[in-house]
Amino acid sequence: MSDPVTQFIAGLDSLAAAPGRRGALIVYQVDVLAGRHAGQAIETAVETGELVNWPVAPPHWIHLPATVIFARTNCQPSPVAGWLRHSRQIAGWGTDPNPAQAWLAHVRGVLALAQ
Amino acid sequence: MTAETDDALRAHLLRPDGQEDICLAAYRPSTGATRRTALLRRVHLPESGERQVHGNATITGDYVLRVAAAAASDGDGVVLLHSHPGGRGWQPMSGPDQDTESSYSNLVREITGLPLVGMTLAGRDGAWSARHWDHGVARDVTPAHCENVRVLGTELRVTWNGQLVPVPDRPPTTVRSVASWGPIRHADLVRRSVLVVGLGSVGLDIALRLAATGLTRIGLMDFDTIKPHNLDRLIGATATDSWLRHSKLNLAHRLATENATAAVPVIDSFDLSICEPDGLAAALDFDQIICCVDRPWPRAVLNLLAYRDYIPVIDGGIAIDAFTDGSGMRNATWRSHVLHPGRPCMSCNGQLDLGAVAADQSGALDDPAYIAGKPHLPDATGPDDTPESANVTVLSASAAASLLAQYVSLNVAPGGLGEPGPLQYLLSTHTLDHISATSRPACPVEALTGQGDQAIRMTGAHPQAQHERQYRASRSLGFGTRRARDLDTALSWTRARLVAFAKRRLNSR
Repeated sequence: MSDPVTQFIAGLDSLAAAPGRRGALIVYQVDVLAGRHAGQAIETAVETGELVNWPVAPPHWIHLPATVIFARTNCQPSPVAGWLRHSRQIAGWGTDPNPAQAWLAHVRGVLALAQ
Repeated sequence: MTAETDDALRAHLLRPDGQEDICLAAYRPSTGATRRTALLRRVHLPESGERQVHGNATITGDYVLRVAAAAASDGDGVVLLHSHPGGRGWQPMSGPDQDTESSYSNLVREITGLPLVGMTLAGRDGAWSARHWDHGVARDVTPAHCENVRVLGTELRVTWNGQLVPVPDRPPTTVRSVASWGPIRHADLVRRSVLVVGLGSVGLDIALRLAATGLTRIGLMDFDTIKPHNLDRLIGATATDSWLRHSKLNLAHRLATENATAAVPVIDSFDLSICEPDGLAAALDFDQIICCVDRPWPRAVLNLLAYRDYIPVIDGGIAIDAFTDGSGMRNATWRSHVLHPGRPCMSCNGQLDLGAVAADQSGALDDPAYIAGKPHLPDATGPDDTPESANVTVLSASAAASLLAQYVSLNVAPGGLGEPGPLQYLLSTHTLDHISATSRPACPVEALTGQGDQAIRMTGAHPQAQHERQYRASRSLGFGTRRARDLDTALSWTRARLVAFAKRRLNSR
């Protein structure tokens, strides 16, 4: 059984999200399907420290470039310069047999609301 | 082992013709601070020609090699099981039993890296006995006998090694408890260790009642300090406890010790969070756990433990729904359930949001900057948990009663029925509902059933627990408060000696 971070990266890799390590973050790409950024591939990230319980419990913070703006958000600085981390709690975790796919769906849902 | 595994083994080992039988299984270790447990995971029944039954039963070396290789590739150890059809209770090892197990012990350990576990099933009452074959060379090996074997289903069945854990003395003060379920069941029940995690209004009440019932070993775990806002719910706590910054653990230990009716009660105190590695290690030393915590992270740790390590967790709590304008109460509900393989986990039955765990673990729920940044809107995103939720002591007793009823059903099985599944009581209508929750097919928690030490633990550093321990440290108190604490300690010590003397006097009659 591989460690949780490796499992997370492998899951995203299988979905062609191009995951990679950048310091304390796992950075990957999401194709936005709806909203203002529909059709774009946006780079986003999670902290490796939040992946210690993957896939039993998902990360909380979503790291995004500061150019991605939300009408309402609870955000804090990200370790990546020019980025912010946004508080987003995923609902109903544990129903999808593919946790990486469920995570990407969550991030896509968040990005669909970006302005 | 689970009841399902027990059923499969009994179906093979207890033959209609009354002869002994034998088979192999795989296990995973589950290691606590002082105890190790072998979690039976998979039964490998013999294939054609791999065992002979001739009154006794023997297996071939090829069978052992086949199963050991499969176990090694899965990271498992090997269990060698056989039956004594006419046996009852914990079984001693016969010469042939000893020869068979010792002859394979080193081979199996070399292939799997884990000691061989030997088990015997007594045919007349279904009792199990077990031992680890740890060290030695060639046939010069000796077994380390286990203290008990636990079979976990809707009922927790335990077989005791009476030589290692003898039947405890029955003091005259427990006569009414013994009369409730009989001396045999009582002797079994009081040897089953219980850890109470969270010593608030519900956990404290439960701990005291377990002590009064006569349990010989109770664990208490909490890192929190008694604060003024706790005094309306912690029965037995006083303004002195709040002033002198006493821990909830200290209060529970003092009251449980005074209320204990066992002849020699062992009450272990853990000034820890279950989320800390040492807290989880301590928990793995207990036969069952009662969960009285409400934060997502500790609940997630205990939820996982119930499946990963086969330790039943009796969980529940109370929710009070007050009108937001302060004009009264809309309703109150209390729920209880037992978590174990075969029942839906806390997340599947809707009592734990796994999506909230990371925020709790990161400290966000206690971080003023995070809380200040939360949008206070109906559709706001982010966790809405508040550290201090509404509760009232006249109702917390009902939550405790619901948990304790689940405990009795799991351990005593009144009428032959074990725990009933998730229950919910609605105060407004005074109705008791059986919740029809089922396990989700993709549940990431139940997927780790029986994985033991190899699965994630969800533990880590717990800054809030560290802060509370520091807050109570003497050096953080003023001179006057330190002297008052010294006086309180002396008074408590004197009272403890007096109570101990009175108990000795009573039990020697």
